[in-house]
Amino acid sequence: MNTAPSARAAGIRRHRGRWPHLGAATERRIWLALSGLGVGVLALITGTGLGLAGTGPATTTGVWRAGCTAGCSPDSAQPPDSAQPAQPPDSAQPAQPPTGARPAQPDPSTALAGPPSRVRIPRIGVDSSLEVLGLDRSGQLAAPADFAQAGWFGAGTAPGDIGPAVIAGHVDSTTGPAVFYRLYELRVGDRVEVLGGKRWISFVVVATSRYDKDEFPTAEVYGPTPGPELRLITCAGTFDRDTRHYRDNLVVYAVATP
Amino acid sequence: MRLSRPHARTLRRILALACATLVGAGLSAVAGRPAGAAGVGYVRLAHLSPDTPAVDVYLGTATGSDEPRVFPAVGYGVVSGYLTLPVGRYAVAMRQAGAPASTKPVLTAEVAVTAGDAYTVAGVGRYADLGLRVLDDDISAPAAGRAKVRVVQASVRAPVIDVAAADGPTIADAVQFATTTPYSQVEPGSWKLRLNSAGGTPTTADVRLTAGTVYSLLVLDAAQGGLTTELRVDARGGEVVPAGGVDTGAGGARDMVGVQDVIGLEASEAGDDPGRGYPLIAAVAAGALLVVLAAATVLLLRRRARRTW
Repeated sequence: MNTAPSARAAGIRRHRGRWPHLGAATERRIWLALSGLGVGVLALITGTGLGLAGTGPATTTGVWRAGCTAGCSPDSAQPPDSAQPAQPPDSAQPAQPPTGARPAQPDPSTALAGPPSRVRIPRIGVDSSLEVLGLDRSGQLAAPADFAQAGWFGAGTAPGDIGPAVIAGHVDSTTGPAVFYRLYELRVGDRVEVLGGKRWISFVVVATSRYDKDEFPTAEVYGPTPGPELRLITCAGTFDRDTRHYRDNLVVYAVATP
Repeated sequence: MRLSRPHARTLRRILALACATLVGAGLSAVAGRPAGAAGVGYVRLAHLSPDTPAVDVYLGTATGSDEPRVFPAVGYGVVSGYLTLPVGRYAVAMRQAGAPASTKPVLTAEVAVTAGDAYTVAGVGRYADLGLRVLDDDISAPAAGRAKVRVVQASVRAPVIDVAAADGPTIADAVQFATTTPYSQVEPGSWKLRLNSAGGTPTTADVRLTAGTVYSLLVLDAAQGGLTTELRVDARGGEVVPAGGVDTGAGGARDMVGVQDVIGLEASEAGDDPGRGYPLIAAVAAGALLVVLAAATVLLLRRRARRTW
């Protein structure tokens, strides 16, 4: 890819050198072709735009302790009953059958967290209590009743538990910006905090993406995750005056920090 | 006004170079970014070779751009939690515990992490024919109301086992040592699993499976003889999944919401955040297009002007 610009430039140079007395019409055609190329590139890029959004660096989580690790859950808390002491590096012969016991180390971050009560997003000045959201008659996630308050999808994962917890908030009310109006400003690396019980659970943004509601990626947003994750959802894009709804959803993906 | 001919040519060359560079930059930005909305995947590491001594495991980018992370003295039966990693290629290397990082690894493997996908990189087999295998952990949601479970067979003591719930579903038959079964969908609930091996006494394990959850059942040689099992949660989703998106807006700020894209683009130009790749790339492309059009206009106008002279 890196050679493309210079190669193209060389091509243009050669072209000019070989036919130094081109007419204006020919030259116009050349520039038109170049412009067309630009338009094509733009189309290509906007076409793949959604897929490209938010592929930034992520904070890594997880520590490989002996025995139960950061990924452990109550389900795997049954004490693993085999372990092997570290062997001297020069032990050339195969190991003995494992002896000793690995201590089970249940990770507090995977304990059942219970319903969350607040969400805080420092970068965009959000500090909201949370209502519990359910499904409407069509099976769609119901929006919060209060434009100024975000809501947690109560039949889904609780923030801090393994899985994708979902918090939704309005982008605007009938009169102006609402609680998640500035969600679009969030970037990879930003922090989101959720109060579960008396403990603030910290998440870091790993991706943001905008989707046409007709093509909402249910598997990506609600599908199983190996660790505690969070999705923040609001509306975006064009407001459809007929349906009185926005056409797009903005989804912010975040993972729990260790 | 009119530039002398060599000057005009130089100007055109500069413009052409600028266009080509910008277009090229846009293209390479596209090529360098894998598709997929979520920017991370998941990798965990496992030692599943019963007679292999503890190892130091190294995990780094395939290009070696960063210092690899080291997990020291990992023994048989240890499976790490998932590490959340940016999409890309990673190299896993295993050395004997305590061996210097500069020594040649005993085993290496490369894993290509794609967005939202999970992998287990495991040392498997007997010490004599130890291999490092990348398992694709299909953590996609089970069917509604079901759980998913697979068997990771790492017991050499019971080289072939059948796994079934007492009075319940069969999970896997004739699972060979050093293999991993595909996930099977099962009814959630509490089950007593029976592990039968030819010639061995059956082992049982009490498990509780939750709907929407993806499990791996590890079968290991126990320290005191016989088998032992460990049920690991690979991933978990909610049991109830809403249909489609959510209507979170009433239109009161629609004029401003409609241009949030553009504002977001400006914000990402101000910062150098690679996370918002889309606006960045769009900006580069738009820039390239503008330069191309501007150059075309300038030259056409100049040409036309010259003709009338």
